[in-house]
Amino acid sequence: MAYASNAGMEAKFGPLNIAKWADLDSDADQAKIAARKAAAIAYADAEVDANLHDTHYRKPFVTASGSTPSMIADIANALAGCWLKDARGQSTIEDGQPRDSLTWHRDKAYGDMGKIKTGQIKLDAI
Amino acid sequence: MSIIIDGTIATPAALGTARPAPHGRLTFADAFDLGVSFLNGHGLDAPAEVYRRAVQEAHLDIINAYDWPSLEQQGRIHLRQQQTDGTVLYSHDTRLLTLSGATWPAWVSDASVLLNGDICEVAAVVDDVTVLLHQSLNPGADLAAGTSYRLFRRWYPLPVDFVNFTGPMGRNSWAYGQPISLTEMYGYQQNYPFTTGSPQYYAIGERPNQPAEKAIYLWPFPAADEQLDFTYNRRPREPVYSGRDAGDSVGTITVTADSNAVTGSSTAFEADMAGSLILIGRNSTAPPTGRYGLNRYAEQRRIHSVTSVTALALTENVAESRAGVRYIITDPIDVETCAQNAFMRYVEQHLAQSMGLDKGPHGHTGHYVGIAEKALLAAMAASYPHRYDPTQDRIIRRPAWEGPVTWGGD
Repeated sequence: MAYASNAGMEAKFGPLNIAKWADLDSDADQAKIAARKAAAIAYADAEVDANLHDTHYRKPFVTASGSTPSMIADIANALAGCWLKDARGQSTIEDGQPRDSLTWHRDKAYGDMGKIKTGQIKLDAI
Repeated sequence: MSIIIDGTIATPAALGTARPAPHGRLTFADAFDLGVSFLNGHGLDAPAEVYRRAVQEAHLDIINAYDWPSLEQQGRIHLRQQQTDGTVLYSHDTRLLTLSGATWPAWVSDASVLLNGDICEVAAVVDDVTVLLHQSLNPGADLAAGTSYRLFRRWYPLPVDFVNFTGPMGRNSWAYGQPISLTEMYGYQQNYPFTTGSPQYYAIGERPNQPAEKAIYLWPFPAADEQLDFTYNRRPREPVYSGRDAGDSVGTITVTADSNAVTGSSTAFEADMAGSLILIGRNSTAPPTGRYGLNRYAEQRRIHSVTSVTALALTENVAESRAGVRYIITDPIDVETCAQNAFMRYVEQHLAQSMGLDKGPHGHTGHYVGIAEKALLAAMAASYPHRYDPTQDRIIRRPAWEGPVTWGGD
């Protein structure tokens, strides 16, 4: 089950941004862009599962009605978008750390996963 | 100061009385929830496997710690008189023993047969008059037709949940037979195979060809068919269904008031869910929680039998009709009520141990072990009908007007 989705990434960051970030070679090759998006989704899903492996929830994460918990989907979409953007290079360096316009999204995604791991955030999941 | 002694001042009338049956039972799902809350309280969580293991280990801790009265029950074994009717022919090439002038009894499959002074074992039953003998425990050579024999049982299977005897066996004087080691028992049976009468000795051993099951070995061999009654501690139901797995809550169910039938839609009921508990929910969207959750179940019932993946029967009728509601199936924690707190403290202790919570700067602190053991002592003290006295005073429960009797200290 994929947590992130093309529609989810586009809703979060905008379709044009996602398309631009996924066009790594800047050649507008739609096949390569689609493959890049799929790779981003796979990376994000694996990143969520790996980070939240040590939680009591059923894996893959699922609500009582069988859908993806909205918070997990949001984290995965953020990570997928960041992964696409990361490949195109960082904008600035602050305090020795790369910073870009998605830093807040990245930090929030990992912060939320940290809170899920400690039970501070309860998922709508079984 | 006035003392209320009959509850007449209290309203409504039921105030202070026990909730009518059926009472909610502590479940695997409850224990799982408790474990999650415990670790979350320490800023931790763990994979489901860790909680499962903690529950199962705590269960063993409780049942191994004490002879809980709730685990005691009666058993009965039907002892068989030896058979000597007819004669036999043995062919060593085929290891077949053929009976003439009689038929083998139904219990021949677990029997031994004495042939020319040697105890031989039956390996398989071919038909009413033919059995296959053990590949090594056999006469070693042909026996001519007309050979006399003696068929008897060296052992009898004990209940599959047998752990140990708790009381005198049987209804006759021989019932107070003396326990001996299995080695001694083999010696008696081998050296005195002709002796019959009231069994004087017994030994408990593994049931042949059935690992993890027990059998009782007797000597002398019974002179007639008779019954052996006994009380024993049973092994509690192993907690398996946590209510967290996909098959434990998939689909919805429909139940009808005053009926014990449960009809599932898109459910995946399994045959060995019989004996588990089903927590019937209140709506079609959210599976019910256990006793500690916010979406507490509407009714808790025990599963009597599973007919198909979409149909099962309960041991009791449900009180209210509900259509298309969510549910979960989970195993009961098969310990008596007074031991439930101790059980939960042991769950916490095992989680603490797994997650390194029970370690101080100088190693293992034993903090949670101490809490669990204290709860266990309280449970033992509360256990009915026996009262375990931690101070070693033995107390007999008597009618209230007679007051308790103690000895060994005051």
